[in-house]
Amino acid sequence: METLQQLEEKLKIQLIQQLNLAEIKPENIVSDAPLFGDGGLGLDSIDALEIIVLIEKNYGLKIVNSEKVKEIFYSVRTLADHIYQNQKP
Amino acid sequence: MIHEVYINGTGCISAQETFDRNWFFGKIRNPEKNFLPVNEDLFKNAIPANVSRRMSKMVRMGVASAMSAMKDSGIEKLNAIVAGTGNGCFEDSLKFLKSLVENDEKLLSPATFIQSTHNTVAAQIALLLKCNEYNFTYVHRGFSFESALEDAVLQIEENKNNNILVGGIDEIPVAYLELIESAGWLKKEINAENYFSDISDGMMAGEGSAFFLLSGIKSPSTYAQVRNIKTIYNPPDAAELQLAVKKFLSDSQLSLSEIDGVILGLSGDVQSDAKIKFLTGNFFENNLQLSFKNFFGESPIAVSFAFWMAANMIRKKEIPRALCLNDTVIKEPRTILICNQYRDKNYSLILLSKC
Amino acid sequence: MPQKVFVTGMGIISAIGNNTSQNLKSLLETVPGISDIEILETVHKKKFKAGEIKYSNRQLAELANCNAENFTRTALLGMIAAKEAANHAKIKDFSDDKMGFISSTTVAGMCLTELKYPDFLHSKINGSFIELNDCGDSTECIADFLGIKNNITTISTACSSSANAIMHASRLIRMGKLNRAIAGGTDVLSKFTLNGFHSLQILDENWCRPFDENRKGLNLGEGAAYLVLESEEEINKNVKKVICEIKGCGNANDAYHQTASSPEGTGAFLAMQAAIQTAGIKPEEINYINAHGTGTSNNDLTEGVALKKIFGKNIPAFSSTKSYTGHTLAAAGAVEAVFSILALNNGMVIPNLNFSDPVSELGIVPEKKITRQDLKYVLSNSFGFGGNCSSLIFGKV
Repeated sequence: METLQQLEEKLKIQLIQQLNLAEIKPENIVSDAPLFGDGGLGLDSIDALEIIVLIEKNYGLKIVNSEKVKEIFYSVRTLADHIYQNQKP
Repeated sequence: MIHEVYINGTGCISAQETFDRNWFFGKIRNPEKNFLPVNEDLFKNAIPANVSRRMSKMVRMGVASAMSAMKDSGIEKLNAIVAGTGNGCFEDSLKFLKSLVENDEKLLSPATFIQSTHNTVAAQIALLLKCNEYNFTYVHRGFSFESALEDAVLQIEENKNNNILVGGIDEIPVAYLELIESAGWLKKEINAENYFSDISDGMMAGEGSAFFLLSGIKSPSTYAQVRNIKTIYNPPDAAELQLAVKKFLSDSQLSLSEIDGVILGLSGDVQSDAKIKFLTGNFFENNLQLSFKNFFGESPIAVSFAFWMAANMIRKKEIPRALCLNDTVIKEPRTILICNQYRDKNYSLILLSKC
Repeated sequence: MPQKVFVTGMGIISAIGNNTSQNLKSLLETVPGISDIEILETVHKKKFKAGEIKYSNRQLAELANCNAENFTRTALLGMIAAKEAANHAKIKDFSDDKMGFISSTTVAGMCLTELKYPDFLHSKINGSFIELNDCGDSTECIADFLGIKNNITTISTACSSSANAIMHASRLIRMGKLNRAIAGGTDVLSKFTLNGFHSLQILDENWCRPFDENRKGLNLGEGAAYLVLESEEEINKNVKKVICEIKGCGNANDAYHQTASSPEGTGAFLAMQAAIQTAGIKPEEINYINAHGTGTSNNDLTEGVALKKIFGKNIPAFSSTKSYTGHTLAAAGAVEAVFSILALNNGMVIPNLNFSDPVSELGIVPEKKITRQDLKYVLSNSFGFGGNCSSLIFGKV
């Protein structure tokens, strides 16, 4: 089973593909930097919905767009953490 | 007839190098297939990457040509954005539809759905310019650009200080090309050297975007003025079309001899071209006749390229030989008539003149 | 000299009726049309409710008295509603040079394309169905059906489309370019839009709850509605019965985000302000607002914020009628124009169904019951994706 770090690296590649972040490389994404808003990658609410689709497609995890989403989607690390904790074996 | 509506800025992205302001039918890209795509390298750096990441080619073309027109005019504050598109953001529509079909209505991309709405280009321009003003998108086939133009003219007639950004955009994504090819809309082969001597069915598809800054006030960047516009829906025969053209000229207080050039919307498809072809021999025979769809291809908004051509011809006082279908010689084009058709249903007449 | 613009005819087909009087009856009897999806074939059939018109395309074609094979569902709905409007206005000459037709749609022919595309992808059929796909198709079908020959066009600005069609037609008449126009829109339920809105997670699996604290999203709907607009001069010439006046209109862009509205409700505020200004009236003269009120978390909050900005503490009676018809997308502006005019002329405020608790950030309460009162001016809002915000004001005559 892959480590949390491996999962983080995989997620970075998937995020770049799904969200069309053409100019960004995986090594440019800091794992614990905020994904949303001006401070981080600058993603918006449409990207949040795209990430929900990505997670369900690749990890079989359904995430409902509620207040909890803000915590789970804070950074690549929190996202990876959530998947790691909840992924079906 | 229209009074005091000026074209103060242009921005055009097409199969030719129209984005480069120094280009005017010097090096011409000839069609090889029945489709003339836009080469994105020609306007690659026009939009920052973080903004363009979600944009389809259609939106990138629309935004880039709109920004180019704004820059050309020197205007910073707009009073309206009015766009015209026949097919809307079709690449994203077909992408969403294909995904819907293949994934049995599950796990679909929200970004693709949002980008497929027809008014995405006008909305995106407003977003980038932080423009809260009037924002309309017309989506009526071969009248899309003309409707947008008529709207812009209305607003200038209401208030001549209005600066209106108006344009046409249409894309031909591969998925759409496959559909229209199988439906028999396209030519089987292209004869680039003698495009209009080929008597066959089918047109050559094209794509692109042309935006214009219109105002009721002349400026140092003024190209020409818009004198009159008329749409003609589904004329039953060439005689009806001819009557409509006569009435249009009369409304414009012009005689045929005062028209320095007629830009004809011949597409290369024998059936669609028939009525205009008739006029070339029986009405416009003494006028200089010009073509444009052999350079730009056919699309619902192809007429916006003719508009761009006419504005530039008037400003540059130049008629590139490559555009001419007959040998009539005109020294300086002052008044140009565009006579367009789209799929033999949507006909339009647009008159531009020197100011 | 700008002409005044009046409404002389209306036509509508929606989930609550096939014509104006049936729609009025449903409104008066508080009978909503949102139910389980029966006709649209979708895997989400049992999951979502919608304002579906319970007629197959064949049945709609019978209503329109034409051949179902040649028309999309979008065109059929439009033909039915536009015909009713034209009859109501007793139009005699459709081919007149100063008569126009301005329609609108977002789904257009996608309702047909989505059925045919799988077969095309498997090389079973050719692509000729694409001829009916674009927005102009239904417009030309309706124009041909009625015999309108000039000044034809189509607008598509998402959910504000038909409000904008009415606005554009009004402008053309006011400025003397046209004497008469039929304006409105048509949209149908489709797998494309159902799945699209589902991917945005803004659909309610139950009945939508506009302006309620616990609202979960919208119900989609389908329908078509058209108004016949005429200049004052034209009406006097033909001694026509006038239904109401198009008193004011405004369109503005939120310029904030592709789908979400700005927290300040900028676009909505500017559109309403422009409508009130062009009407030459004061905000306090508005008696009833037919809100956009989709039932989504974002719209109802931002629309409420904008209402408070315009009207302060004195927001007039307001409601969303989307709890009756669902959100009819492009047709919403025109459908709700008809409802606004029915409210105006019947002296009634239409209730906002499924409401319990006000949005905590707003504290505003829509009308919960049919309220009889003299109405002089009614404001109708329609806000669409791409930040496109439109407001219309109808005046009693």
